[in-house]
Order: sequence, then C-alpha cells, then structure tokens
Amino acid sequence: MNVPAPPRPPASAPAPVPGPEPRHPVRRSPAEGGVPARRAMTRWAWRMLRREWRSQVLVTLLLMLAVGVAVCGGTALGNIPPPADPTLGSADVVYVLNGRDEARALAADIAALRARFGVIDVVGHSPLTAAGLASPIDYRAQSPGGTYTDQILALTHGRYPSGTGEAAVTAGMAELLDLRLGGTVALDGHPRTIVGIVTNPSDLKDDFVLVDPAGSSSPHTVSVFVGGRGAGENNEELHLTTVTQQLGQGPDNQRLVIDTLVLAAATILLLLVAFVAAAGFGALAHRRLRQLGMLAAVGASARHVRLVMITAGLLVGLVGAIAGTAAGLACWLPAAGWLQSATGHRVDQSAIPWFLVGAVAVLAVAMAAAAAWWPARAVSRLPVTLALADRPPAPRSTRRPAGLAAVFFVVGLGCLAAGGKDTPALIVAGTLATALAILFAAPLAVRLLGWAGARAPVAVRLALRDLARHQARAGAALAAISLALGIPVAIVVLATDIQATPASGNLSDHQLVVRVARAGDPPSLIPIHTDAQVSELTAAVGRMAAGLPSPTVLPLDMAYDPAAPTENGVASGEPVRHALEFGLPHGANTYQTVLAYLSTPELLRLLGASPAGIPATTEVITSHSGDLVLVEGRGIEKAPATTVVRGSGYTSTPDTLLTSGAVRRLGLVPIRAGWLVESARPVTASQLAAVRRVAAGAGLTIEARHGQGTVRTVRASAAAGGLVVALAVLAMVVGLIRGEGAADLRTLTATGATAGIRRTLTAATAASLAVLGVLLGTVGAGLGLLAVYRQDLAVFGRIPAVYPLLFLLGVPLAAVVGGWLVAGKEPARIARRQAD
Amino acid sequence: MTAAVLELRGVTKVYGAGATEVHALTAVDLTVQAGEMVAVMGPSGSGKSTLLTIAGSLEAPTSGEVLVEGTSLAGMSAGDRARMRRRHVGYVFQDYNLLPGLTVTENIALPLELDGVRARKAAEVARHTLDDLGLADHGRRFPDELSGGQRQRVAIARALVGDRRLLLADEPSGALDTQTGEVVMRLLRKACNAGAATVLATHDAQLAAWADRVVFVRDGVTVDQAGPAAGPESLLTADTPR
Repeated sequence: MNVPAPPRPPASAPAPVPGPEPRHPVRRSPAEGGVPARRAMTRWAWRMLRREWRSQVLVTLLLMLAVGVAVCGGTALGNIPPPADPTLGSADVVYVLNGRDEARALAADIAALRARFGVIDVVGHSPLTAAGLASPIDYRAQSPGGTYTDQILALTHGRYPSGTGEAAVTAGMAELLDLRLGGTVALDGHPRTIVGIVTNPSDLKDDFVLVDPAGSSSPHTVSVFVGGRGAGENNEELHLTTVTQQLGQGPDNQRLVIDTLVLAAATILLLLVAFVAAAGFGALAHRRLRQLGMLAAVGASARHVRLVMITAGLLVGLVGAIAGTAAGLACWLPAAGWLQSATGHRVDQSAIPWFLVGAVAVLAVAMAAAAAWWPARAVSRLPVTLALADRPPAPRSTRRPAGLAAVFFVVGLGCLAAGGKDTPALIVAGTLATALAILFAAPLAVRLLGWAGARAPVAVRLALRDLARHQARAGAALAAISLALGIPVAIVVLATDIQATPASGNLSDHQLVVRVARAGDPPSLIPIHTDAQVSELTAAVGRMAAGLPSPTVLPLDMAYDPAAPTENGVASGEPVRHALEFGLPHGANTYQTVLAYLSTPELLRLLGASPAGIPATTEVITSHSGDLVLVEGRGIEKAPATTVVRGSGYTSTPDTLLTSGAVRRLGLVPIRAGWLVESARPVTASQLAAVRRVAAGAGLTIEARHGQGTVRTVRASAAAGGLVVALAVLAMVVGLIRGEGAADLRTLTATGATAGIRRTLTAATAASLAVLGVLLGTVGAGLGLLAVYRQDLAVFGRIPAVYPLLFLLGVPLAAVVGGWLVAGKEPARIARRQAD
Repeated sequence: MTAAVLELRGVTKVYGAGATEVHALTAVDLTVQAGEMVAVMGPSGSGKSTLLTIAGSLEAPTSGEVLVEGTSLAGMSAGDRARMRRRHVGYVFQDYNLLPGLTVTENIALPLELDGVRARKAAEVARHTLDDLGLADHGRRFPDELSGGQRQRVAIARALVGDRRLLLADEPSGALDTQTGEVVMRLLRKACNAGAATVLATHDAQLAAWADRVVFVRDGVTVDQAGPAAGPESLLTADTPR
C-alpha cells in the first residue's frame, strides 16, 4: 500500500520562528515538583495496587497475621501477671502474726499497727486437715472490700458469710470436698452452711473456706495488710511481739519488662514479614520496570520513582496493620478465657494495652515501607535505558554482605552468651543481630547453591541458576524462611527447658504421689500395716489410677531399722515406723530432710539413670549434689558410697534411692510408703477430686500439681505455626520466582519439555529454598541457643525427637511434594508475552 | 542564525570493555534547528536508538558533547537531567509506554505534575492538548481501552505538553498500520511546523520522507545526509548566488 507523499512546504515558506510562546503558561515548582509531583506518584501507586492487588495478597496476609499475633499475644502476655499480688493484694507490706500465742499480745500488735498505719486489713488463717489430702485446707477469716485485700477476694455466686454458722468456699474447694451451695462444711468441727462461692481473682487456684471474722475462733496466723510510706521500716518502734514474718513487694517493673519483650518479639516477627515483603515488592518492581523507566524518561527523578514503590509499601502496611489489629483483638476475646484458666487468675477482656497495639500497628506500616524501600532504591538507580528495555541489573558481588553476616553473627552470639536467660535486652539484641546475619548470609548461600548445581540435570540446574539470578529476592525470602523456622526452634527448646524446670517444686502435671503416711504426719512416718492391709491399699490405688488415661503405678518403698522402737504419728498419734532419711547440710548444724526410697529400675529411669551406669559399690543414688548424711537414730554420719545422677527436677518425686546392697548392709527392712501414679495426660480437677475421694476412703493422702499442660501446647503450637509460616513463605517466593521465569517456561515448553520437567523446575526451586532455610534457621537458632544454654546442655537431650525430624526432614519433603504437585500446567500463552 | 535546539558534537558511545566492547556510536555530529524534522535512518543495530537516548539525556555519551537549547548535558546531575526531560524534551517510544493505571488526561499531564504544576491546572493543559490532537472524547479512558493509533497519539500529546522544544521519536509508527502511521506522522509534522525540533529514528524510507533532512547511520557512524529536494522556484530567489 503506497503512502501518499507528505505535503512539502512551499519554497518561499518563512523561516521557523526561534521558539513559540507557551500557549498554556503554567507555574512550576522550583525543586522536584513538590507536593503535586508527590500526589501524582501516590495516585499512580494506589492505582497500581488496586490493579495488582492479587500479587500483594500474600504479603498483606502475612503482615496481617504478624500484627494479629503480636496484638493478641502481646495482650495475653500483658495480662499474665495477676491484677494484684495473690498474697499481698495491693498492700506494701504484710505482717504475719502468730495467732496461737496470747490473744492479748496479738490484739496489742494489731492495735499498734493500726495506730501506726491508720487503715489496715486483717485476715486470719487456720490450716485444717481434710481426709485424703496431704495439704491442709485454709479456713480464712476475711472481710470483703478491704482496702488492700479487695483484689484477692471476690464473690462469684451467692453471698458472703455472716456470723458463726455460715461459710463460703472456692469452686475448687467445692469440687474437691464435694460441697455445694446450701451444703455444710465442718472441717473445724463447727457445721457451717455454705452461702456463697468465692474466688481469689489474683490466683484462681487459691482454694480456701471463707468465714466471717466475727464468727471465727482464734486463727493459727493473722496477716495484717498495711500500706503507705514507711511500711516495713522502723519495726523496732512498733514493739511487735507476735510477728513471725514480714512480706513486702519490690518495685513493680514487671509490666515494663513484658511490654519491652512484646515489642521486641513483635519487631522480630515483623522483621520476618518484612523479609517476605521485600521479596514481594522486588517482584513488583521487576514487573513494573518498564513503566518505572518510562516515568524516568518523562522526567521523574529518582525520588519520584522511589516514592511510587514506598507508597505501595505504605498502603500494603496500612491494610495489613488495620486488618491485623482487628483480627488480633477479635482473637483476644476467646483467648482471655483460656488465659484465665492457664494463669490461674481473673483476666479482664477489656484490659488491652492500647499503647502496645498502636506501636505494633505503626511498626507494621514502617516495616512494610522499609521492605519496599530496598527494591525501590535498586530500581531508581538502574539506568533508564535498562529499565525501558525491561532488563534487570546483573547480580552484584556477595562479598560485602557475607562479611556483614559474619560480623552480625559474632555480635549476636556474643549478646546471647552474655545475656544468658536473665537479660531480656541482650537476648533481644542477640536475636535481632542473628536474624540480620542470616539475611546477609542468604544471598551467598543462594549463589553457592547455584555453583553446586552446575552438573545437575537441566531442570535442577535452571532452577538453581534462576535462584542465583534473583539472589536479592531469593535471599530475602530465604532469610524469612530461616527466621520462620528458627523462632519455633527456639520456642521448642525454651518450652522443653520450662517443662523440666519446676516452678514451685513438687510434681509434673501428670503425676500423683499417694502416701501411706497420715495427713499431717511427715512422709517418713509410715503406719504399720499387715500384708493384707497393704494389698487392700494397693487395690485402692489401682481404683484411683483406673480413672486416669493410660496410668502407670510405681510402688514406693522406704526402709526402716527394725531395731529402732516404733513411734507415734505427730498428727495421727497411731503407731508408726520411722523410715530411714538423709540430711543435706543447709547452713551450720542445719539439715534439709531427704527422703530415701528403695531403688527399682523404674525409679532409676525416673532419675535419668540406668542400672548399667551405676557402679557396683554404690549404695545411695541421688540427684542432690553435696554430702548426704545419715541423721535419724544413728547420730550424724556420712552417707554410704553415693552416686550422683541428673534427677527429674521435681522435689516430691523420689530423688534419693537406696540400693539393695545398702539395705542388706545396714540391716534395714522395706516398708510400703506409697505409690507414684503417672498419667498419659495432665490430671484434671475432676479426676483429682475422684482420686481424693478414693484416697480418703482408704486412709491415704495424695499430692498433685496443676498447670504445666500449657507448656506442651505452646511448644506444639509454636512448631506447627512456624512450619505453616515457613511453608507459606516458601510457596509465595517459589510462585514469584517461577512467575518471573514464565518466559523460560514458555521457551521450555515450545522446545518440547514435558510436564515432568516443569514440575522438576518448581520442586527443585522449592526444595533448594527449603533445605537452605532449614540449615540457616536451625543452625542460626541452634548456635544462639547453645550460647544461652552452654551451662545446661542437657536441655537439648530432652527435646522430643519428633521436632528435629519435623524441621530437618519434614519441611524439605513438604516443599518437594508441594512444588511437584502444584506445577506442571502448560503455560496459557506460549507464543506471546502478556501485554500490560 | 538561530541557535540549534539540539547539538551533538563528536558523540561516541561504547558499551562493555575488552573483548565484549561494542561501539554503538562513533564521533557523531548532528545539529537540529527549531522547526526542523531530522530523520535518522539505518538498519537494526546501527545506533539510531542510542543516538536518541543520548540526545534525550537517558544515557551519557562515552565522549563528545550534547547540548540542548545551548545547555551542555555534561556534568548535569541526575535531578537536573530529569528536570530537563520534564521541561524541554519530549520522548515518543515505539511501544507507547503509557502508564496503564492513569487515564489519558493523567498520562498527558504527568510531566507537568512531576514538575510541580497542580493537578487541576495540569489536567486543564492536558485537555487542551487532547483537543488539539482530536482526542477530546478519550480523556477519561485508560490506555488499554484505546487502539494502538490512539495510544501513540496520546504518547505524542504527552511529549508535546508543556510546549517542549525538542521531540525525540523512536520508530513512532513501528507498531501501527500504514494509515494510522500517517496520522501519527502528520501530528509530528504539525508540531515541527509549530516550532519544535524533531529527531525521528526509523528504518522506513516512507516515514523518512516526512523529514526535512535524513541522516544515514550505519554501525554507529554517520555515513550520509540528505536534505529535502528543492523546488524549481529556488533558482529565482534573491539569495541564490549567481
């Protein structure tokens, strides 16, 4: 088709004027466009995000998840401390007075305290024994609404008792003693009608019977709550004659510590998301490379180009922060109920730390903007012609990042080693430095992997080369995956440590100790039973255990000297045998009693020892370090040959065993002292109540503990959460990288590659990132934890084997399988690129 | 003599180094006056696009000097070069390069807004430009709703908005059919007649015929130049020496 010749200007056409006058004069800003330019860039960034919101969904969801976890978790952590000290309430000092001495002296001391401090609260305590329970029941004479005791007494049903014939009980006490409203309780010999159910809001596990102070007899001890200036000082001036103890509160910086820890944890979590977001924004920048180049071509400055990307980051951050905050607060409502039972004190749903919530939201927006800033900077520095040609920059050297990684790693390990378990600031700094070390090491790891795959089959080779080509993006994603795995690794180790460390020293939550000793008598005073009676008691223990899931019953035998005379029980008065005990020196001429049980293979296992590891000459196996001495009936003499083992860490489980050789040599006789019952799951309150009823009927006492099940739940939840996040990040990054390689996929398909090749490509990409992420994450976290736990390496041996297997094998396997299954579809367009 | 709008003096551009060195341009001289359209012709890889990117300050030459309206680009900061592109240089690409997220009016107004003109005023100027190019009804549309020819006209409008003096067009009708290509060339010619200096890179002789002068480039070197054919009246003009 011929194009008509253009019209030629006439030969006498006038010369063109030097420059036309502007037809539409406009006023321009002197600098880089000022506010109008920024508005234009922001407008375009918003339009861009609206068009391509799908590409930012995963980053937004991750941000939302991180903010939600931080808000809900932070609120929960902030509500872990009780509203008031469960013992001191809001008092500055509590004077504990002996109520058994002269009533006049007691009254004088109380009057002196009232005169000195003005307003005081007085609470009487009388410990009374109940059938079947090793621990006494507290009969508490307390008036409601006290100035300092208001937060440690609350009514949940009925009313407060009034007068001598009424009482209120806690819900736990009611369940334990089979009591109800309208029923009767008479542990002190005086029948009282139960008119109310009460609780200690600061300690929901505090079980007691509440009586009216006006209607109670002389208490065993009296606690006087005082406050104000001078509380606890100059006690000599008060001339108190009955005081036995003085309890006080230190400066309350617990909330500040918790807020700091929550913000630090939120920062680490958001850092993880920022790494992922950086990968996402990098992909966005790459997709928009030509358009950003065109912007520069029409006169946008580098700052304008950066503003486009940073605005996108801010918008994504804002959406994630708002949605995450809403989700976190929504999750807090049901979580408050769970927290109440876990912490054992009342939790107020409206007690939300708004400052913390706001700080987390601001941090989320800032992190998202920061994540967008890095790829924005890279794009703005790219030559305009390269951007217009849609050519990304060549990968840069990884030497400097590797050097920085080494520096951060050393700093991080140093902080963790110096901080140990006690210094939150150093722990946080060490964790952040280690996370940054992983970030800087990641690009080098990706490049090394690319070199390692030089001789691999073509699909694997292509996958590894693509990772190395996009090493900045892959590096950020690898850092995110490593952090997502490293955090649960740390939580698993910490939870294992907490689980093995008793908080108040008796038993784990799935153990019960059943004792033959009568309530109120020391455990070493064993009532004398015939064999038939022992069989009956054993049968009763069997009935107790039958109500527990998959129980194990271990007999506990002690030994006594047959030559020693029988004694009378302290509380029971009945004839008893005094079992052999040891003493552990505890200051000058003071010994801590150590119960001794007869050794069995099961009890040895409980102590973490095996028969093969015990020398043949050993007579005493103990977890106590220090020289045990024999005290009872033999004067003070050093214990026989002793072997020290690890122990379970619980003070009420057997921790000192006598070998059969020792029993023979010392001429001792075994005697059944009790049973250790172990359940497969934590013992619930109703199970405990049923066990107590059987024990009471058989004349036995039980000892139990609540509340450690949450540690196992936390450990499992952290591991599961970390795996899910790591796999989600992996899926997003693999999708991004393979999406950028869509042209390669088209070429491969056009050249004849099968679905197997395409699947291998994706599976190899996913597996490479997963393996590297597992290595970096577990090694980084592991080295950091080694630094913290270098004095107690045994904690690593207590980690259930399922966790290392899950992390080291499960993640790469899931990545390979997922990548293989998801990929394989033939590209929709082979011949053409998708137009903008 | 009027000052040239664009001057290239001994411009050389080398990519890479050593064995991979590529001489995209070698000692190119070019002068374009206001109201003049110069076509740069040559086969693929001859350096036409490189010449335009250097003229438009998108790239710096390896050696030589580039002057736009008498101002040398050498030593200019990135910000100064960006400002110069906003105010003095209009670029028309083969593949339009319009921002899909902005309307037609917003695409045209973009250089003004980047230069600090308030959005309302910039849009008003853009609409006037749209009127001049016969696209008044398309102001609220997005680029993906337009045909190729319409998109290129919008790109030309963006290059012309703000009364720029230098227009650089790289294969402006390369992606268009012949009829639409002619429409585009008419617009460029019209802009030239209004006083803009235009440099047009093309490998198509029919497009080059619209130019006042044609510069031939091969392997980065200017090999020939051709001006417009003079008409028979030229012999009788007073300035013609006898």
